[in-house]
Amino acid sequence: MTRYSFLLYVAGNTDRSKAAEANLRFLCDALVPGTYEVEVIDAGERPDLAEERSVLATPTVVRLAPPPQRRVIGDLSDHGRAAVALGLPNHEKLPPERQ
Amino acid sequence: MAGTIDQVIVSASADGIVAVDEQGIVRLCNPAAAQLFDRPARKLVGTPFGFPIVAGAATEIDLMLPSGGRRVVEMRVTATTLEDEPLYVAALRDVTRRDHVERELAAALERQNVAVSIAAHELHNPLATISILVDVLRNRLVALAEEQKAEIIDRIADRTARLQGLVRKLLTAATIDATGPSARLERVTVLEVILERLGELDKRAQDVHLSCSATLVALVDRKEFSAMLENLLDNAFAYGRPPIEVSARAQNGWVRIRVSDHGPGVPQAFVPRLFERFTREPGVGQETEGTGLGLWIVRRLAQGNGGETWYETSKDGGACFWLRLRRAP
Repeated sequence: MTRYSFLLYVAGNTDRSKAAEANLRFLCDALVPGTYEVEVIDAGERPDLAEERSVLATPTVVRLAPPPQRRVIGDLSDHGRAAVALGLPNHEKLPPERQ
Repeated sequence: MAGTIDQVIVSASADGIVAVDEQGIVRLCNPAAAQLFDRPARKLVGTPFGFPIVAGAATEIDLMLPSGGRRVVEMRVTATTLEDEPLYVAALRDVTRRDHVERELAAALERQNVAVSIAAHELHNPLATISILVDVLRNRLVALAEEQKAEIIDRIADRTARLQGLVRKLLTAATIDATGPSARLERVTVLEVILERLGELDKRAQDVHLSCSATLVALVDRKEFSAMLENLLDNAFAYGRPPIEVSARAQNGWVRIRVSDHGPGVPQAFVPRLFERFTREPGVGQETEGTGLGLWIVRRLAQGNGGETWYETSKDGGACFWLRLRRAP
């Protein structure tokens, strides 16, 4: 079974950061339940970790596994496009967006 | 005012542009983007920015600066193709600057709105009075003694003079907004200008006690000096109580003019805002005419002419305004 591994870079405990994490977990729970891990990194507290992966902006999601690496910028509130950009399977099964 | 709004629009349109391919790798960026990221463009091209996704029109993101700091920008994304390859263009706008620009714009509009409503309000009352007085004069059914007629005509003249004063004030403020003080410095005999102003006061001039040497000469724009005095005197009559004392003295390289009255003075809490535009002390009744422009005009003109104006409480409690101008050698 494919395991998905994500790094989420945020800046501080802001609404924007919380929204990005909630959206990422929502997508994973809906599309790859039980087979994913998310590590949240506060780039404000650990700029060295952000620099290490050349993170230029937050929120940024990096998909470490499976390869190839992908990265997406934004708070992921457009679930459909975020799922496609992150290469999540079955994204067509997502419930229709409120908008 | 127009200049301010133009500047606002120009500065707001300089967005940072970052174009990325389908892998989110930066293919090109403009100098404004390099500035926003605080990194040279050559270091940005080829780095993985990420695939930008915006729900709705725009989203806010934080840029990580090399210094460890952050910059909040608003991101908009459009898609295009370059040499048949999809290209995603993220337009980044500094929110800090956008907020500043919005505040500037709001303040400029607010000033205009306030100016229009104050002008309308202040013009309305004297005009209504004039209109009523003219009706009384015209009404053949009311037999008026010559004395009464003369009194009504005096009152019309008084209201008209006030209106002219108000219009001058609004024009001065508009000129300062558009071009700043003109400050065409010339040698001006201080006493001459003070007497000119007192001449405009008609009967009220008798409530002014004057002390000034006939040889005192200031280096100032004559018209603007006159406007400064006019506003200081208006202010003293509107908010203070007579007698009004005007004294001018030489002190080192300066001419120092003092305008004081015997009213209640300015409440201490209001003093810091005294010279701001459109501020009036809240305790002042609605019936007192005033635009909240006068002292702002005095300060702008004084500073524009290389001088200054400030407030003190005088020893007997009244208000005391100082005007300092350059003294002609």
